[in-house]
Amino acid sequence: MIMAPRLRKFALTAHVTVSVGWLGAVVCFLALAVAGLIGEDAQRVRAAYLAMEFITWFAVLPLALASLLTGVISSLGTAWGLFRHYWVLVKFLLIIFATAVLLLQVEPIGSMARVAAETSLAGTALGEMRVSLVIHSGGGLLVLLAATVLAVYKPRGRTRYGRRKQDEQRPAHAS
Amino acid sequence: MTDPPPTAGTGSEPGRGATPRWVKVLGIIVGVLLLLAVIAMIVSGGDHGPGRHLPSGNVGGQAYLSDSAEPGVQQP
Repeated sequence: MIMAPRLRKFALTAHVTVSVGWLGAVVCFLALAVAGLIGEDAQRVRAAYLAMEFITWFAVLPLALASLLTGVISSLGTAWGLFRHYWVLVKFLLIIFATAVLLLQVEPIGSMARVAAETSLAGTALGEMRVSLVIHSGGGLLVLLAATVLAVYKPRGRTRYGRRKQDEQRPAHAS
Repeated sequence: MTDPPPTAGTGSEPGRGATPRWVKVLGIIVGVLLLLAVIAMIVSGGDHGPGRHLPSGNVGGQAYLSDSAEPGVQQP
């Protein structure tokens, strides 16, 4: 179903807003993850991991889900569709992947925050976990940047489904 | 980020039936990254779950105490 122009603009505005917000929230998360990894002051390191849990629950996760939802609505409500153009499909898969990895990381982030709340976390305690948080948030940022590039440049190319749909619509437009 | 809608001529570009080059390049990059991830998993022991970084048992237990701090006690 194609949305009316005003509704389409509203959906697009919502999608851009939450998507950019998600990207910014991941940048903040990455900054805290790096601070937790290389920080020498125990109190700051603990504060970083405690803040990361709050950012995850109240910024990263809601914005990720909102971006996914508004993206699906925006694509299905316009002539672009969700499966008709490669760039839309690839971007959708990237966002699904990023959201899935994020959901898998929620538990370790919470565990890390609990450890930070209950212990001093000085030195190299849980070093592998701390490195993992940096790698996952950095990777997530790259995926979101790739999705942004796709959304801005919109590289050409219709999927097989998109070409079939286009062929089906041509006689209808011609008649 | 799906604005503006596609133009009527978008699908009538030359080589319309073929998969675009950028999709093929992206597929190769994703394939290489997946291969590297699988190799990293094998090298690290075959486990890449989110829980692998956290030992089983009490998360806030004494094993994580890197100095003499007691749980809940603030450091100066």
